[in-house]
Parts: sequence; structure tokens; C-alpha cells
Amino acid sequence: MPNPPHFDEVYRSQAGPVFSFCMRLLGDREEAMDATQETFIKAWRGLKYYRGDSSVSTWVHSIALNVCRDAVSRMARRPRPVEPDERMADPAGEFAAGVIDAAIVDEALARLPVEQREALVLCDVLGHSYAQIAELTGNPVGTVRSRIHRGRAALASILEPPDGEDGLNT
Amino acid sequence: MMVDKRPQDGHGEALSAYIDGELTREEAETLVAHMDACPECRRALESLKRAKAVLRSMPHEELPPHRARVIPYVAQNAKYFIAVQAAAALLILGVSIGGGYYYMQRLHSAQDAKTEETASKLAVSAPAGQETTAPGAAPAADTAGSADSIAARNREYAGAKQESLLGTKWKRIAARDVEDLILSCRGDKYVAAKVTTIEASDAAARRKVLDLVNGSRPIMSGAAGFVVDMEPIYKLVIRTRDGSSMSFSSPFGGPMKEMNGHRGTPPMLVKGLGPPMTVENEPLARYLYDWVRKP
Repeated sequence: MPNPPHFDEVYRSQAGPVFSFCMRLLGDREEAMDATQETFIKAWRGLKYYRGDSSVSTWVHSIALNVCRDAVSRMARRPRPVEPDERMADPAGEFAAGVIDAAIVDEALARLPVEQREALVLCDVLGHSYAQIAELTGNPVGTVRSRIHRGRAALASILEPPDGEDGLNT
Repeated sequence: MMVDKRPQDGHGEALSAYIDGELTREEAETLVAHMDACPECRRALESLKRAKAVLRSMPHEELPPHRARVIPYVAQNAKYFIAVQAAAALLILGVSIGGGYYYMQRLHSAQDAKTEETASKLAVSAPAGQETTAPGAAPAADTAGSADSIAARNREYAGAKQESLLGTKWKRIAARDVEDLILSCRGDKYVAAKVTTIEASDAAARRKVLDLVNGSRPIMSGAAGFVVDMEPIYKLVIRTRDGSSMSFSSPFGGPMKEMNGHRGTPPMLVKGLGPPMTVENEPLARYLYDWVRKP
């Protein structure tokens, strides 16, 4: 059995992808940062048990997925008191160019059922295979395939609504 | 939510799987042959492709630098970090990064009384999420409560041997004035759990600090500073070059859970200290110290 990877290495290579993943799933920077932190705390604790059955990326993302699932249910129970302008007050420029598009996509993603969102993000944002997603989410490949399609079709309809319908502008 | 009810939907999953390269060669050939004769499916394919492209082109999110630096530290010291997720803050310190200010309660410093500027005062109230304004304090649009009610609340909490933050004055201290930052913890219960940003304007900062103090979740956004909220850390001391020092500590000497039973109780207590405290959690202290000194 190979030695477990060094934590710094895991963090260096995975922090960005995990944060992106959390952002797409949670749609909220603060929540995503907290989820990222929690993910790496769990990864650090679990590193000695990591057996290399899956890639480090898959392993870390499976942790992140669980953390985000908890966060999603917590957020659903307790609406966050964020004022609309808070997120825009960002002198550091984190919401600079491109943010509008990302925000729209995030909003569209947020409209999907969470299991479709998960599958779609894992597939399209992270580029995982259906088999990897099945492993990560604990679902059969057929379920994954179905969720990805339904989520993607829904996203397409939101982002480019058929004639006569409004998408996000409703 | 959208449900597939269009002509291509019989092939919908196959179309998505095709885009994702998840069809076998035979399946793909069959689908391609079908699409040759089915304009609906061709359109659907293009639409699904665009949706996938949109997601693929989502910007790669970068962790804000301060979080990026702190997270591995927090993770690797996780045994010291209790209740890192979600729970309310116990200790809050607003520290500036490059041009911001520390927001903290001022303690014993003789010259403070002379130099303190009214405009720099921040009135802080604790109970029940209300904000109040101390006499002569900074402008507060959201004033609630009077001096009498403040005093009453102070008395109310006196039984718990707490020093309420009601009506106390906050002072801006420039980062360059900070000489030392010492963290001290008791036992193994020390934590620096979250680092988030705080806006630099007094009113906004105060409101946000109050949100923390009152036990709600930090509500922060990007700005010229950050808040380090630590739970359950017991004491933190900051010395400034003028010789004054400030400390924060837990009102109950216990973890946050105990305090959650006391709604509206300020989850921090500020006490004057004599000499700088012993550093018991040196790695953490050094880390934050260096971090503050070299933003």
C-alpha cells in the first residue's frame, strides 16, 4: 500500500476544486468557504485511513459532498440573513467581471433539485465520469445518468427558455 | 421544475450520455443514426451541449487568500478546533489587513480617555440582538434602547458575573500600532475557527460584530479587514505600542454551548490585564501574530 499523500499536497491540489465544487452546490461564498474548511479538516483526520481506492480528488470531493449535503439541509432550515447588497460590497474585486454570468448560473443551479445539482456539478464542472459520480454519491450509474440529463435539460430550459417563456427573468 | 415532455425525450438521457462520452460505440452509432432523421433530437443535443458548456466555463473559484492560508492550519490543528462548523462565535477580533482597523474593546490605558475621539467610539449592546448607542457614541442609524434599559440589562447579567459590552466604547486601532498579539487558552480548548472579512465602516462593522456577539452566524463581506472568531478560546491579548493591552475572554469560561442557553448574552467578556499573559498556545499565537504583522 502506498503511503498516504501528504496533506499539504492534497490541500494544494484540491483546495480550489473543492471550493469551486462547494460554491456550485451551495451558491454562497461564506457557506462554501466554511464547507471547504470543514472538508479539509475531515480530510486531515481521515488521511491516515485513505487507502488509495479512489483518486485523491474523488476522495476529497466525496467528503466535500457530504459536508455540502449537511450544509444544504442546514441552510434550508435556517435562511441566511444576508442582505442583498452585502455580497456586492466587495472592494477586493472577487465579484469582478464575469460574476453576473456565474451568478445567473448559480441561481439556475440552485433551482434544480439538489440531487440533480450534485450530479450535474460533478459531471460538468468537475468532469467526473458517471461511474465516479455513482461512487461519490452512492447511487447506481443509471440513476446518475438520469439525474444528469434531467438537471442539464432543466438548466438549458432555465438559461435559454423556449419561446414564450421567461427564464430567470420571471 | 422542468419535466421532459418533448419529442426528443425518448432519447434525452442518451443525448446527455452521448455528450458526456458515456455511450458505448454501438449506442452512439445508433443515436447518431437517429439524429440524422430527427431534427428535434439535433436541437436538443445542441441545447444540452450549451448547458454543459456553460457549466464548464464557470469561473474557477479561488479561495480568498486569508482563508486559503488559514484552512490548512485549522485542519492540521483540528484537534484543537472544537465545533468549527456553524456554531456561534465566542471570540471576535476584527483585524485589518492593509489599511483596516482593529475593532476591539478598549481597556485600561490612562491616555485613552484623553485621546479618544468621539467619532471613533462604537457603542455595543449585547442582549437580544439589539443595538444601542452609548452616550456620545458613533452615529448609529439603528438605535434601540436607552441608557436606562442598557443599565437594566447590565444589571440583569451581572448575576452571571459578566461584564456586558453594553455601552462600552470601541476604538479603532491602526494595525501598525499593534505591537503584539498573544493568544492564551486553557486546557486543550482553544480554537481559531473562522476568518472572515468585515467591512471597514464603523456602523457596518459594529453591526456585524454584534451579529457575532449575539450569537448569530457571521455575516461578512469583502473589505479591508477580517474577523477572527475563535471558539471556544478563552483569552486573547493584544498589546499596542502605546503600552495598552486588551484582552478578550469567555464570559463563562466555558464553551459556546453553555452560552447558547443565555440568549442575548454577549459571548465575550473584556477584562483589563496586567502583564501580558503566558502564551500557552504558541503555535496558534505565532501563526496569527505573523499573519497580522505581515499581511
